[in-house]
Amino acid sequence: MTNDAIRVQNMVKYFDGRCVLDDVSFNVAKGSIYGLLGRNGTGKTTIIRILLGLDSPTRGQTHLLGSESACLRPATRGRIGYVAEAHVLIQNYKVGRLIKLYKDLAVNWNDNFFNRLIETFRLPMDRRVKELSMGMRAQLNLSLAMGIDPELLILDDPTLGLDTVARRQFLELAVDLLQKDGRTILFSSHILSDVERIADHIGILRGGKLVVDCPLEQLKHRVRKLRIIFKETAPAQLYITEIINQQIQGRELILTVANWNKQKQVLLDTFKSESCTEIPMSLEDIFIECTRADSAPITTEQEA
Amino acid sequence: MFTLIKREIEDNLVDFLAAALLSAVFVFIAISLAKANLGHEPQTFSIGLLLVILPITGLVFMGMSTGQMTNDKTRKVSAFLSTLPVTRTQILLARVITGVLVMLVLFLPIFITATVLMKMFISPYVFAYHYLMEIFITIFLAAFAAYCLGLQIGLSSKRAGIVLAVFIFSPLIISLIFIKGFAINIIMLLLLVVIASLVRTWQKFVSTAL
Repeated sequence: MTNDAIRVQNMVKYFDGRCVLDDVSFNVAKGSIYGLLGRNGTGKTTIIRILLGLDSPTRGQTHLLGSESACLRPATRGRIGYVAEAHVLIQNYKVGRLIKLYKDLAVNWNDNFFNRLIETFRLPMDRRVKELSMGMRAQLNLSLAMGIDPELLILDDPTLGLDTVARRQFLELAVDLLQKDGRTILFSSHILSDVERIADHIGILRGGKLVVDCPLEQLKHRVRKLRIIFKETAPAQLYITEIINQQIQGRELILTVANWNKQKQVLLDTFKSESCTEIPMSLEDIFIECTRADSAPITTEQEA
Repeated sequence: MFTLIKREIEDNLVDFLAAALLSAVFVFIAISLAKANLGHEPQTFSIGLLLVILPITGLVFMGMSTGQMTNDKTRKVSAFLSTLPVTRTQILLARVITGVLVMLVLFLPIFITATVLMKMFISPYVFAYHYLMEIFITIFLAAFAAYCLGLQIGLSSKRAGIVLAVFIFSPLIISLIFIKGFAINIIMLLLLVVIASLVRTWQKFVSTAL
């Protein structure tokens, strides 16, 4: 019996001969919130679509709640809530009709909870989905996904297209809802502050490869950005592995290193620099460094 | 499953209304023909009926199913439904059942009218119920085959090949009916087309990216 709600093993996906996912593997443990990050077109939505069985991988296997994605049974699907990118709902349906359809097909339906959400959002039942604003559609999509009381919630860039206020409102409610009952959440986004607020585990995709897969705190701990001042001109070669980025300006060297550890510290000390200060990094800084074309992959502590 | 069928019926209400209207037109034509005293010979009557019904219904049902699938793709309905506790097979089955129901709305009143008219106007020695039944089944299966081919046209991104096959195959079937008459071998052939077409549609629908 696995403790993972999501398992992705060696997933490869080609579109028209172009590799969009290259041997991606990661697991999401039950009860954790996994933030899947990446720039546009790095394969976040493709991973989610494959996970949900909407598309098939060229190679590899994916499992959701112990079942293979390609053959998810209705009973398993009933335990999974999904908020799609750009909120793909049936656009020509009235809100009331869409809710009724969702409710009639659901395996579990928490009427009280759903009604509370609908009251909070004040969604108009008699308007067509396509007539709703992006923010309202996001709220409707989240309400529907939460109405089934899901064990696993997959959010594919749920705040895409929302203005700052709507995004904040959406996230505040989402955070409140998500943190209850130990649900497992896969959250894809490129708005890093959103992910930083919610996720406890981070995966970063770059060019179809998963270059980061570790807990958020560990990621912050393992990526170091240092400002080193040397007595003379900074050396061009430091012999330190997994350098994500380095910028030399005279005596100053700005160095970003992945998987920072004692060995690397000792190696750096041999250069007897004049000063070495750490530059604090937000998740956004880490993301920018990690998505550089030549950055090193960040592994978990066990792997390192 | 019932919810999915209900959804399809509600989404295709226009098709049901159109089928009812078309059926009324055909019933009117049949009654007019009978009143004009053309119903004395069942062959003439049935071929006349066939001449009107077969090509029209074929095109109507092909258009209907193509429209169903095209709308589904553009509105991403199946993509949405597939994320709910249903299987793609159930989604397709609900669609096909709705198509069959539209066909029944169209053909059943015509069949009943034809039976009543034949009983009224044709001598009991000439009237053969099984003959009328064969006509009904043939027309129904031809429409169903057209419907299934339309599903494939709507689903496929490379439509030209299927459309070409339809335009070659349809006159062939109609010619066969005219040559051989309404017989069991025509029914078997149409049944084969329906099954093959349904299996191909199902295979494509469950494996395609939504």
